[in-house]
Amino acid sequence: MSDLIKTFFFECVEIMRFLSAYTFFTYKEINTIVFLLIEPSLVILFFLLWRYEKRKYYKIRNSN
Amino acid sequence: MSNLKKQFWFYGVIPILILYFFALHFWGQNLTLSFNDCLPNRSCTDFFLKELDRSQNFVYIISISIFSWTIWNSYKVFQLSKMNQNKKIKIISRVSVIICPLIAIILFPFLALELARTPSYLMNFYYDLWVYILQTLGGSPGKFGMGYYIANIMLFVIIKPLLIIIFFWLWIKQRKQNILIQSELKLEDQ
Repeated sequence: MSDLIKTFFFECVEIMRFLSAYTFFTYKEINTIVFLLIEPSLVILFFLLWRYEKRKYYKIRNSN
Repeated sequence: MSNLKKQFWFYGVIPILILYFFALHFWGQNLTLSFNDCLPNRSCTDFFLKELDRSQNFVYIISISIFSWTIWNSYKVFQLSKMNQNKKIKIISRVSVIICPLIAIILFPFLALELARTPSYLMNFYYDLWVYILQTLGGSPGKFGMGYYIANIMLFVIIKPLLIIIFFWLWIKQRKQNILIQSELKLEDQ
């Protein structure tokens, strides 16, 4: 099990290394951009959009 | 929120600023590669020339995108501000979609070179902070043990993408439901 986790982790590291070389970013920069900026902002964006639609739904229901 | 505000901030400022950051990065890399001594001496390796070519492709794509997006945004802001009664908002929004891109263009080469020359301390700090958080979550602060690998995979490869998918699905579902209710109400009114 631990070997599987290690292999999976280092495969992900390899993908990030390839991406960093391809886009001229350093490994740390591409990691920060993908996992610490884009991922959390997508979570927040879709959460806010869902809440916005939910509020809209209650507004429509209450107005009728 | 008014349509003008929405267009200005959500479809204008935020995406253009993100594109501007990427444009600065790619232009900076391209300028640093282009200032290499091997180019006038014609002694560059094939690998270097390929890298230069690739970076130029990035530069073209990002430049075209940022220019077209800025022009589209300015056009939309001008159109939407026509209907706005408030003269102050009308003038400010119209002037800012012309002046801000001009300032950004003037500052662009300096910022791009500076960004390429200096390492990004803020990003490195943010990255190192998260490494420490993951190591602590994994049970061994300061060490890259099995706990760190598991915490990393769980958080960034499983939990966060799962959250993105769940919230996206909830948003689409709710949106569809709202559209359905609105169309039903319209039919009832008729």
